[in-house]
Amino acid sequence: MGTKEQQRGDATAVKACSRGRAPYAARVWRGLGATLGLWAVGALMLRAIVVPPERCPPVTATSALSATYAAADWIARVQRPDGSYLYEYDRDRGEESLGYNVVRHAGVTMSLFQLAAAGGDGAMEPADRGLRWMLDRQYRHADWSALQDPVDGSVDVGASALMLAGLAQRRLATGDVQYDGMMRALSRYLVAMQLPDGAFLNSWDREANAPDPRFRSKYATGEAFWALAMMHAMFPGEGWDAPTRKVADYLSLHRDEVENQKFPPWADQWAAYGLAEMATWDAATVPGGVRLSADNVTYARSLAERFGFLVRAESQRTDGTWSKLIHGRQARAAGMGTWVEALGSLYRLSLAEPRMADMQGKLRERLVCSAGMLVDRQVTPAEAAGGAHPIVIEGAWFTEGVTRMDDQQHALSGLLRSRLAMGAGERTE
Amino acid sequence: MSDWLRLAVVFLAAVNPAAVALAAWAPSRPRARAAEAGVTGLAVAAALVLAAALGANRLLDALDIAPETFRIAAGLVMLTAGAYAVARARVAAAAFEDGWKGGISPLGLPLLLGPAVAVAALSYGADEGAAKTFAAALPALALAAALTVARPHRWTALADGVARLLGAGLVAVAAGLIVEGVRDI
Repeated sequence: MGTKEQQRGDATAVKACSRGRAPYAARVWRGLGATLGLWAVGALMLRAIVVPPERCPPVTATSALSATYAAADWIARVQRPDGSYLYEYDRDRGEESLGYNVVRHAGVTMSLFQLAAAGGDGAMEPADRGLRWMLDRQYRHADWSALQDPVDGSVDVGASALMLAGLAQRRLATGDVQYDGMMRALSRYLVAMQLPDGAFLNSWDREANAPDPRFRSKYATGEAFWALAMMHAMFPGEGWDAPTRKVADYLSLHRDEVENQKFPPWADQWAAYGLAEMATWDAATVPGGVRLSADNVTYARSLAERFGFLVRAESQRTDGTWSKLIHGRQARAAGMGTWVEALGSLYRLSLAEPRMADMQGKLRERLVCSAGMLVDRQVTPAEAAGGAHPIVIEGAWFTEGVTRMDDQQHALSGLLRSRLAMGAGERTE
Repeated sequence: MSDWLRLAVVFLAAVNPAAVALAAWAPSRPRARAAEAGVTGLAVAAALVLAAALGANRLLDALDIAPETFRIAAGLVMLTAGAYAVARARVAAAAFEDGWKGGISPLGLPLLLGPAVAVAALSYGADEGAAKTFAAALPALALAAALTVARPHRWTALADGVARLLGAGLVAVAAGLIVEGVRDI
């Protein structure tokens, strides 16, 4: 900073004043105005690009329950006589998709059993039809049984894990023990597919009569985790806690690295289900009364952060062109439903686990917000009435004109799980 | 490091007293006029920081923005201000004039209360509370105001280096704030 230069500047300023430049006060206010104007432009840009309003439509335990019933009614309406469901429907074309997915079949059936376990009227009948479809497609080997894809014959862990989870929910709903043997057989399959590090291989190789060592599944490991955690809760003393703990530790410590997750933690709602289940295990049935390790809690906290962020980002999205351009399109219900399921599970975990208690308030806030978005985006009877086929539109969630059965599955499960945060009890009565 | 101290360091980087002083120093100013500007600027900036910190939650509520999300926006603004300070050793471009009017603008706004300080006051006000935020911002504001009066011209090169260093610090703080905003529930 040259002193002479500054002195020259001062002298110029004095001369300028004497030549009739605007008075000093006017220049000050003009400068202030310019500053505030620039700030206003900056604030508007921030508002438009980084922090648009986060919209959380109002929701109550009652409206969430109504939405779950509407979703369950959609599933029941589109169920075929053999117990399978309408897989995918494009309302703009009025066309069904021809494909099917056995894992999603098991998931949809499980969600109906969840509703039944919560006291939901009418869910048991379609759920049992869906169960029958799965019982008819079992692949048996040694002492275990697994759900087999009728199209390609594959025997994947995810399908069997969700079938097991569905049976566990059915047992909770009815107290019926007729499928306990099947539950154990499915569990034995899962354990047979578990690797020494706790992860699960994706498929059974029918030609080699052994697990296919080539592939892990980022979904199946969490699904098997939750199913086995419920097995220990229902059949303590049978040893299901050991494989459950092993997978809990794998998920908590190694999964993201081993499976090359670019943005860890992988947003795994099944892991959240499993951790919440473990947190309510009878302390007398676990060594030392310790349900969750410190690593498991750290992992649960990181999941809460991930799902919370996803919900915040989603609440900023609208159906408008600008929002789509800047923030991308709104998530489909199959995606957002998993976030609600996860937050619902983590909220339960925060109630049961003191090391998560500090997150309770924020978890509740995000959970209610995401449930509100789901309810708000569901097709109402009035909206469906104008369509060509209201029977496959009402109660569903559509993304770009298409709904898939797992949209209804995850939304139903998530909304059901969110009601606790809205002051409702575990059962719907 | 205590919460207050951590916050005070954040505001030191956001206010960047060295950069403020570099923008305000002029050799020919009477000390009394400079002091008048300094006191006025400090009062204006401190009052606005207090108002921002006190009203942060209400403002964010009214705008439907979660404090966690606002951290990301605040971080981006602070990142830009920090990068500007690294490049130019200034917090803002401003032609400085003495007296109480110059204390209001440009000293109070935008030199002392620059965009980075404003968003920091809002973000930390919402997260940490108004009292702690104000108490943490005040030392940095006071130091910056005092330096504009002190006029230690022979330390210009030093101030230039410190301003850029604090700018780099602000970039680091901003990056941390963005990560916090993304990683929080």
